Amino acid sequence: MATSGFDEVLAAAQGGAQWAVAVLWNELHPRLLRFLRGLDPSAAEDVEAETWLSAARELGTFHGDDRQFRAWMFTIARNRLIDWRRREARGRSVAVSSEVLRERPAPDDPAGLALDVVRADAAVALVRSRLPRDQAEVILLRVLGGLEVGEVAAIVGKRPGNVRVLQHRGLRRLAERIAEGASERQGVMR
Amino acid sequence: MTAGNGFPSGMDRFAVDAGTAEGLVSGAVDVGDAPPEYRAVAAVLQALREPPESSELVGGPAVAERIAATVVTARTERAATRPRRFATRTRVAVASLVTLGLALSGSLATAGALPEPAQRVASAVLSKVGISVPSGDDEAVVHRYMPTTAVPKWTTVAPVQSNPAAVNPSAPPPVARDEDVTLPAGPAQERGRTAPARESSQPTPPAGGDGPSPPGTPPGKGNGNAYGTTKAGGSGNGNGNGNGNGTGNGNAYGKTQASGSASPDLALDASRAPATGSP
Repeated sequence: MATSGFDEVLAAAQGGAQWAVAVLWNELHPRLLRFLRGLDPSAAEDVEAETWLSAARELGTFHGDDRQFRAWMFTIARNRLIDWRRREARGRSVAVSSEVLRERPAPDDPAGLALDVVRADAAVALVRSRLPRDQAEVILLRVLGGLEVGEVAAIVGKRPGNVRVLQHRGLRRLAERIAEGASERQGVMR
Repeated sequence: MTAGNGFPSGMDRFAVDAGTAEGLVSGAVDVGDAPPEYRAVAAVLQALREPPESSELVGGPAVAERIAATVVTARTERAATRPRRFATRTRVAVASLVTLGLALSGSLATAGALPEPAQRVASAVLSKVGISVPSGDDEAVVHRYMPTTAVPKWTTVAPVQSNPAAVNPSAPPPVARDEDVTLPAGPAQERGRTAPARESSQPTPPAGGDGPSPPGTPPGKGNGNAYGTTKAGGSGNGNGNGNGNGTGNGNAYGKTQASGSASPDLALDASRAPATGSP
């Protein structure tokens, strides 16, 4: 979204124009949902809805360009996810839905490693299953949010150098795990 | 010599430089341009960036309608709460200022440092609630440092109203009331010194009743006494030697320096001067 166009859309959305809100939602909803699924698939839908409601309540106070708006939205999403996890921790029940288990591929799941045609949700599941949470979070924010290292650092509350390290380790780990899975798959097929 | 992975031993096949890593994450490095070991990673990251499928946008208009309604509601609430919040802040600020002002004027009134009319009003008001503060009409009861004995101590001194004109009509009129007390500085001033009644070791019984007492007589039953040298404020000094004693509320005893322009020493019988003061 061009910045000048974004300004108009934002002003209209702040005035409550439904078309403008729809533009923002279409632009950001898939990214937010993928981000949240990459961190906690069981909570992604609910947390994303809470994210939009929180953003709607504070939209009138936002000032900035489209990049800052993306960062703002991902910050809200991350905070709502943290709130969600706290609530879950207070009333923790061990029950895990089968959907979650289905979404979380086993390390040797060949389906998850079929990279010829990777769909977005499969890529999200792969990142989530292969990477520690902090590395996955950094990579998802950078890729899905289109954010720079400094912006990601501000969102996750780390130094930019730490974010770079997490990102580098995450990429390396992802490459290693994918290669391990591929060699195991070849061994199975032999 | 090669390791099992086909790479020379000691060589890290997953090593990637920072620029390539940055390019992978930002999308600047395509799958075809990525190092062989990172092509799969590049494909995963590219998949994350894929535009949304239509199934992901189902229900968009309804959601947008709900969000827009929330935006309008929040805007209305914000507009409604802003003046209230402002009014609340204003009220708090005014209350704080009033409290501060009351505390300040109360402190000044207690210290007797307010201007006389204000002090009078404060005294009247506070006396109704049982708080005693000096009124502007009172002669100030001044706490002065009086080295009457070898051990310095604080003494309450009733201000002495000396009237040099009564003794020497040519003397200039007093410019100001006694405001300060200086320490006795020499043997000449010791002449008039007498210990206060409570500490007196003199055989002479304390003078009772009203009226002047002979010099050297210890103070009477009064609560306060002044002796030593009293110096009035103002320009110049006039010295008057004499003894003053008053029963009751105070007495002046000793050397009084009358205020006024410089004049020769004058003998001042301080006992004629009324000793005023409060207990």
